[in-house]
Amino acid sequence: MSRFAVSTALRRAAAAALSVAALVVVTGCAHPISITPNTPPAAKVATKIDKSVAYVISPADMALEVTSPGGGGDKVKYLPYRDLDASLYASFSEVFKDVTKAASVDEAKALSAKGVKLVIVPTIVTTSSSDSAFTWPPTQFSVTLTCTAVNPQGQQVAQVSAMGNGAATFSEFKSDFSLAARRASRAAVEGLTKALADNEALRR
Amino acid sequence: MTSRLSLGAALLGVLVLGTGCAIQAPPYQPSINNVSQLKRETAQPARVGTFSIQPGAVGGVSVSIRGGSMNSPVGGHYADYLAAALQRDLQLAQRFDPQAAVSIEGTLLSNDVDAAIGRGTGHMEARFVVSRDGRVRFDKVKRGTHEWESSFAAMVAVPAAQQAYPQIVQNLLSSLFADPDFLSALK
Repeated sequence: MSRFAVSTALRRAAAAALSVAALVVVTGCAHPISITPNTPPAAKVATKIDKSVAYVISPADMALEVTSPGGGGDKVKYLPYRDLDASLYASFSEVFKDVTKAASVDEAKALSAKGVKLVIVPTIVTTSSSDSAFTWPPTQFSVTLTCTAVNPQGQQVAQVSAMGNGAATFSEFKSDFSLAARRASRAAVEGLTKALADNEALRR
Repeated sequence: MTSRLSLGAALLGVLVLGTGCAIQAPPYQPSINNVSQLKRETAQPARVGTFSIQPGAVGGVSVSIRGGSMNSPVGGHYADYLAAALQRDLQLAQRFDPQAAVSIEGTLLSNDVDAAIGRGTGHMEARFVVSRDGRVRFDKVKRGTHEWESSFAAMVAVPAAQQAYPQIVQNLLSSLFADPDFLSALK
């Protein structure tokens, strides 16, 4: 092998190692990931609920950063409401006739003048873990979505929950560090769409 | 000295992974503000036409981050990523129809991410053309930029740059949807 070929091979190997270095644990670090599903959830609803709804995610929740365990003593950090905002919008759009986003419950209630019949407040709870001592991305992730629906007078109409679990092995997450989280989110949003569509109180 | 460092890095790669790897850009995350704007300001559906890369454009196929590469998870290049992002926004706004008379086409001009120490930056620039029945109604270049907190350590800086990428595309589409001429061309 020529000297040039050896040098090129070493440079390529060094570049590969730099990519790999991004995966290796450094105790105490919080690594940013995203919990946005890889593909839009596919759950379809046969008959939409004939109501306009407003869902509420406050600016503070959109900016809320959550830190949870990764592998090897490292942590991961993410913004669950920002990451799932579009998926929640898509889920509500699949179930209800029309959807609007509001920044507060009061703003959402005020939309009753424009035909909004329900105000939905979603909450997101996550867990994560890893069985790897050497790499930081989570190998297990869970997302629980709970939606509390109230009428414009503030009375609770229904509370609907769905949970999704996601797992990813090293060979899968080496190109997408967030894979377990994305899978959990997709399963949770699909479950939520079905649970909302099946809830009789929301259809009344 | 340089050869020893390269060899050490190569050995680390072999020990930890056994092969090199390219990371993928995260899936596009629509902005509900963008979607609401489209829904509020337009009434007619549109289709997404051809999106291509201008010859020689930076970052058309792959984006370099700290010596590694980040590829598009959609199609074969980042023009496909942009087209899919635009389609997703139109779909969520219920303004997408593959048979619509109005067509939006694009050319990716530049696409880059810099995971610098301290502050990461990135941009995407593209030319958008809106046509109706073959007549051009809009033809402008738009640019989206984004900055984020970065780090000296690659294991923090690389995923931070990766996660920041969809926001660059979101900001590019925000600038497009905020243009009254674009909204008018869709009507």
